[in-house]
Amino acid sequence: MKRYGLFNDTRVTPSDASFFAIQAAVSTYPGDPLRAQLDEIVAGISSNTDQGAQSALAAKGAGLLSRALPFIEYCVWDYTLVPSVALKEFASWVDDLQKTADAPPDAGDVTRFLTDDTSYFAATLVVLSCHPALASWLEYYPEHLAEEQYFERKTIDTILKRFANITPGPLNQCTNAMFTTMPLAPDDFYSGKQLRSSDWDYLRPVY
Amino acid sequence: MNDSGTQNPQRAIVQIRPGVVHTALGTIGGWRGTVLRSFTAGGIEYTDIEVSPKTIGGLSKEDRERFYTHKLVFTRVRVAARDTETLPVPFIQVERADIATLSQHEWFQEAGIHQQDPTKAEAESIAGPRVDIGRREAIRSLVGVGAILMITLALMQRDCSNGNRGYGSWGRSGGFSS
Repeated sequence: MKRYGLFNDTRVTPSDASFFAIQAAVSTYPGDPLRAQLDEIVAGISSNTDQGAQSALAAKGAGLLSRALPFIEYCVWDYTLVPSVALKEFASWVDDLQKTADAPPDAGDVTRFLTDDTSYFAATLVVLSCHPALASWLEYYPEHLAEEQYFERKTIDTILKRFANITPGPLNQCTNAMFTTMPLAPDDFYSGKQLRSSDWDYLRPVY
Repeated sequence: MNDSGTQNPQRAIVQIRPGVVHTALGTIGGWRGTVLRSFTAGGIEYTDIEVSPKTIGGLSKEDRERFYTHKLVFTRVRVAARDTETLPVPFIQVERADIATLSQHEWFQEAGIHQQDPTKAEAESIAGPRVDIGRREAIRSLVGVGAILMITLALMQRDCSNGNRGYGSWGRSGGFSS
């Protein structure tokens, strides 16, 4: 089975790779055009085998998320330049996301649209690359951020814009990547209560 | 929900009507903010509001602590449009950005600083507690010796190029040559 939003399931991984991932919880509503556009991108990546096309789609997804910045309320991002850890982290993120995509819908994990609180979807971009386009950017930007800056809106914007830049960008030169949206069904949502639960305790608020 | 939402970006300033209680945040009646968008779902119009700097500044210390420790995003709130009234107040972009950054830093001091750095958590669970130290030490040494950085990047570029040529996929992406 083709993995959900993954560029390539069989590509041999390099021994010298860097890793970056970002997950954003975005406030949404039934019929949200952003959610529909992102779902279309994920479907395009899943059904395509041309890495150039997949890169362009994922970069478009990052750009759409950047334009939806005011609606990102929770986020986490992660990276490493240690090659052995990069491979493991990439596999860990991809496997976790795929496990969620494969699991039968659980009423406790998702909710219908909430009439008394904000409803969310989560978008995730995971990148593995042995190209300097990613490694040099990681050395230049996130490594020099102070911890209190990690989840500032302008930091998240900078990150998303970097990945939205396809020429020359880290996605264009990546070895493998995954772009997903969750929950899978567009009529399902996450509640704030769910995103603040222990299942999502790695997410940080974005004020 | 049978009907689709409709996005309607505006810059109107609104005040939430007195007595409105939010499920997670508690009493939000009287809060002011900028309308980020409006949409209709289930026949009801909703408004996503970015809470004003003045309202945030007027929150009690106890409320802010509660929001930060429970990871509640209080700087944006969704309410039914009927629970708001539009105010004739000008929109000021700079203040909005400043208060968001201040809130993020305040959250970090109240709660974030006590939590494990999420950029380290996964790596440490995979490779042990010293992996991040190793990462940062590696970076420092690279930054400290610029020549080594340049050589390393050049080697990486050469290795990537050579190592992936056999798989064919890099040829389409282009962008560098060894």
